[in-house]
Amino acid sequence: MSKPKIAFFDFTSCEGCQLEVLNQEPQDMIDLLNAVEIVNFREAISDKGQDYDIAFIEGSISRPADETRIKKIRRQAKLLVALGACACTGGLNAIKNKYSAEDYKNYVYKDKAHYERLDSYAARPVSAVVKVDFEIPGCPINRFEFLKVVKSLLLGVTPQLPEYPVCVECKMKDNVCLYQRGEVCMGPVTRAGCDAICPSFGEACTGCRGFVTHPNINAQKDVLAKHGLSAEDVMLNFTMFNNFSKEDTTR
Amino acid sequence: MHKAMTRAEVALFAENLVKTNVVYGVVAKDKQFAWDRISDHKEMVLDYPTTISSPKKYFLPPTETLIEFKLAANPDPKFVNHSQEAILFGMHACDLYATKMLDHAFEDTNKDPNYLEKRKKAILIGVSCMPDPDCFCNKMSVDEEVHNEAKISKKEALYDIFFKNIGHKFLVSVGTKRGEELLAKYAKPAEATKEELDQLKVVEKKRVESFTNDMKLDVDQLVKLLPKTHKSPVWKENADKCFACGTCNLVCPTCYCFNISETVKLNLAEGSRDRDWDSCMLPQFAEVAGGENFREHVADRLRHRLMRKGLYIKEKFNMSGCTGCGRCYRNCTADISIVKMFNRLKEVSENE
Repeated sequence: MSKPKIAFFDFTSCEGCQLEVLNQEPQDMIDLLNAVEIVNFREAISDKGQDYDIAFIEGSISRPADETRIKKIRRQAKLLVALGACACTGGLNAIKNKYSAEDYKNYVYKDKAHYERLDSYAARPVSAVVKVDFEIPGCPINRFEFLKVVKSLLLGVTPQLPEYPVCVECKMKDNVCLYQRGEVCMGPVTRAGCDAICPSFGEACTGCRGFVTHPNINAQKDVLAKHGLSAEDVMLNFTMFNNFSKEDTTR
Repeated sequence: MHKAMTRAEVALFAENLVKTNVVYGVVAKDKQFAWDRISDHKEMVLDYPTTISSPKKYFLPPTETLIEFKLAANPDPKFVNHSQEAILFGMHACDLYATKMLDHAFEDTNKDPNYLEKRKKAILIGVSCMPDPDCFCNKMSVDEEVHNEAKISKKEALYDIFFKNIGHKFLVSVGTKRGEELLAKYAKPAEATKEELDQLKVVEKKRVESFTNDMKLDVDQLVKLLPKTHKSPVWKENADKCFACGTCNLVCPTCYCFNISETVKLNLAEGSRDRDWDSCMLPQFAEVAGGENFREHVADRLRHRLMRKGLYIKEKFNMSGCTGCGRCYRNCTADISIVKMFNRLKEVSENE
């Protein structure tokens, strides 16, 4: 069996997910390179191969030109996998979607706000533009989950993401619940798979992996409010990584 | 039947154990307490209210490899069972009772070697406690089972050694031959005096009087009540605020459900069959091939969990499925109380 050819492409993102792909244990990296051939990966190699089978996409789509580029990649790739929060939910980039272009440009770019090359439209996940075969969520992705997904694809098995929330992983690690420390956390409604990395280091979950399939949103709002958050702060927790809505693409 | 040890003697006993054995005990964790491996006996606490999760993790680890195999015509499976001699020091009555219940579950029809071997190699040392407002083990037959002197004399004690805190000293009850040998090897306890035994009675009376929970049903009453509650509105009432996050199951000392999965290594040549803790509150628990889900709604899953705790386990193993440890309520982000649910089921049932 010839090795499948894989490629990495980035759109609006910090490229941190691709860094996680590279941030493997040495033996895992060797095994990965034995299993696949990387033909295009701007962050790691200078080759620009265009004959890839699997495309991994980091970043959200936030300009019309991005659409042209992602559609071209989609035509070539047999499988297209979205990598990380920006690609899966719009991520942090989608926070701007609820403000006017003038407001966020002035806020971010100040005296350079009028530069034409800074023009963008509402940030959207890759799946809003082309068909996505699988999504690996997280900000950044979990490198072990990336390897799991690659293994599944190599074996021809549909990869699985946990259907349960981060609380499960906290309990498996005997973590002290942040709520019991008087803090708030999005863990009860956020999809696990990160090994509860933030709560394990005493930081609240901010929902970077998106919601579980059936989140109890009302219960989460009630719990946040009960722990002293204002209505506005409650919403900030929900929209940090999960602000994109379908209506954004029509504005 | 009781021996007596000063606090200093118990500390020395613990120190001796830690020096030469694998000891698990309770340590402070950010204003709470958790079970952990003890490397310095000074870190171990015996006066603690409760722990986040239960010591079941030493017999049923959150994640465990069962078999390793090759991806070849001959998979050459190797059974994996990492067990070692260990001492669990400082178990409360609720967790001793829970361990006995788990023993039944894993000794039942299909004997589970991974659990049983770890369990067989473990010495259980109990310690008495004072209830906090969420404890209700007094209603769940835990107290009488653990302190049942008749059972101890019949060598059916739920512990090897049990330390009863009477203030300035601990009175020591030995439950098994193994416990007796361990105590003889690492400590030289004196026989308890009449005054000390009187003091124990005072402390035990105080303990019984210290329960402030509102639990209105005992084990037998639960068994009578629960079969009538399948259609109770109480399940839905609580489901509306429940995250179905599985926390209640995972911190429960008697929950033992697990999921089995097989993973292949990146070299695509070897793989392993692993088991992880599962939880009947999670949406996929009762989902089968084709997408059918026997307990699709959170209310169905809450009902199932409480049926397990109050009815099914009792019918199956003649032990309470709930020890009254209160962990599920203390750890619930949505503040759902099993005591309140049981009481409400009773109330609604009586008004029907």
